[in-house]
Amino acid sequence: MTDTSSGDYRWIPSAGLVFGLVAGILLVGAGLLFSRPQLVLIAAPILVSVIWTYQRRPRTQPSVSVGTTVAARTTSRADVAYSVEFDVPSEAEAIVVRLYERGRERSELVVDSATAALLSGEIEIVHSGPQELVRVDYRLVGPQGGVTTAPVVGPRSSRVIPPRLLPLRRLPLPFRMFGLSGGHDSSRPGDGGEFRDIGQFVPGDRLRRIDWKVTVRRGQGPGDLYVRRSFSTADATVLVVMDSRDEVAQLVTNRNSNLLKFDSVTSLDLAREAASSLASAYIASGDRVGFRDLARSTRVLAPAGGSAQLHRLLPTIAQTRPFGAPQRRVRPPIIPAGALVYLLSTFLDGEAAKMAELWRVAGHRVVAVDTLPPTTTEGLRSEQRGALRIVQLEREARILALESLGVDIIRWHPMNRHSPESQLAALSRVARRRR
Amino acid sequence: MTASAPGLAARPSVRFRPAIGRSIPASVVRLILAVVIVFLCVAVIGWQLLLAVALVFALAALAFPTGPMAWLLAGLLAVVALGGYAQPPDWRFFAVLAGAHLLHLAGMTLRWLPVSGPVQLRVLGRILRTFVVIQVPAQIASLLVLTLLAGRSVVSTLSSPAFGIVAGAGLLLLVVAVVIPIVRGGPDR
Repeated sequence: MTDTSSGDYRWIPSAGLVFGLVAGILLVGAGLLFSRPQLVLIAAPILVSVIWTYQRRPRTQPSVSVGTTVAARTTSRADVAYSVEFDVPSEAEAIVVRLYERGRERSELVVDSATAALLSGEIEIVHSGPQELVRVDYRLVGPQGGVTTAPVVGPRSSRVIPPRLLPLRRLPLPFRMFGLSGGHDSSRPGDGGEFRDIGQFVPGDRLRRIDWKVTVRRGQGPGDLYVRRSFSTADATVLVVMDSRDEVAQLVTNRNSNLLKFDSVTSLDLAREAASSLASAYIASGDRVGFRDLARSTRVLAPAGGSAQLHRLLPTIAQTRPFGAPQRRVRPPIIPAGALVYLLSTFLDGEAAKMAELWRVAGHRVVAVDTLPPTTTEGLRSEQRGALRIVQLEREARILALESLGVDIIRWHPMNRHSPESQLAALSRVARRRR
Repeated sequence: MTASAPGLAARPSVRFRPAIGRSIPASVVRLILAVVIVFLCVAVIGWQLLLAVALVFALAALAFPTGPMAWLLAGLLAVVALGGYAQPPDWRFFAVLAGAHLLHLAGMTLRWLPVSGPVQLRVLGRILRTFVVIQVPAQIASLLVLTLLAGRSVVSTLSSPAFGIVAGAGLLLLVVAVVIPIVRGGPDR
């Protein structure tokens, strides 16, 4: 994918030309006036340089096209490779390229037009989600810098970076499961599941289910037939609810910044990773997965199964980001009956916790995924440390209250003592009938 | 959208900037210019009060390249380097002849040169090549002219009516050919 921009720009003579000309004329004038040929001789190279520069100035207006191509990883060291192509007139002696790369400070290069024909570099990606990866501004410089163009804003390459997918094998299931087919055992009699019991043949039973040995042993009269009955299978309905109202970084001093200039993982990076991993794992096991964003009511995907649903889910999750002022909800989003709800939030305020509480009280199994990254308090003053401590205590109190209500808690961070996978595996062993 | 998934753990910063061939940091270019200009000032002016004025001009020329300080410094050095009326030129004159031209080019270049970041040597090479192409004939011509004029009455040569007419016509031609088009085009800032 290439982002291009092109345009015609006007050459502007440098004020240095005028200064050089004035200085040269003054020196010549002074040399003539005071009979000093030395001054005339000193002025001569300056005047020749001015005239030479002016005569060689570009006569045509430059037309510049810049293409930025962001491709998939090309080396093992970086995440994204990009290339910038300039097509500039031959009169341009130099190009001042101002490069804004994701996660780096602005850099400036001065190159000639031949080198600028293809500039390529690589950048590391720390964050997932929508982001501007490369931006190129530039300025053309004519011979000797005597004429230049005004700085030009070039193309911007923005991409949606998909989050990393963690392999999750054992996953918790809802308390109750609906549906007549799927990958999980149901408590209802039917087909597809494990052995349930032996019963008398009734109209509708399949003939191949007749257990002839039991019929011979138990049958008390002609026509008595016994069949082996089994449990039916069912699929789980899972709803992933992401709280994208805020995005906080590890470094507390960066948490008030609305720019993603920090190079450490953020809460939304973790939330995207968790949501994508959970959705992929449940879809792979044949379950129905839906998605909902607490911040925006338009970002909703109804539960469904299959790879088509996964192809809808992953881009939707990857594009999640804070948008505008968060709105306060009057009532929680409606959850399908019997669904397992994953609520991904930092729990820095009470909104998400309130939703989890209401869903749990309504009988849903709720797993609260804490996506707040480990806190780094570097650069905090003592009063800020105190304020942070209060916020942390309030957050812990919310999480403890949820736990006491029967909400399962998972701390999602790769650096955590217990990996997300092991925490989910532990939850999968909890009895489904727990109320 | 084609990009691989990011790693979540903080990784050491690895820099893969575009490869531009042989280059030199712009800050080093500025440093070299500063050293050359200061050395020129000290060599030409010597340790006297005027050196402080020249150093202020030099500092201003490097710190605020949009102003005319580089050309003011060139003028100051030119005046200081003047010898006696009928004396042969000494090394200071030739140093100022090159230094004033260098100050002119530095004043033009520092306007667009970034504060930091690599500058391709090829770009600087083109500027220096032009400097040499103009400077070498200028040095030779100056040596010849001043050697020929040494010991003669320069005043009588330069104040003759014929020389005045030629010089006046040359100035007029310069104004018509260069000054008016540049002023019409307007400076960059």
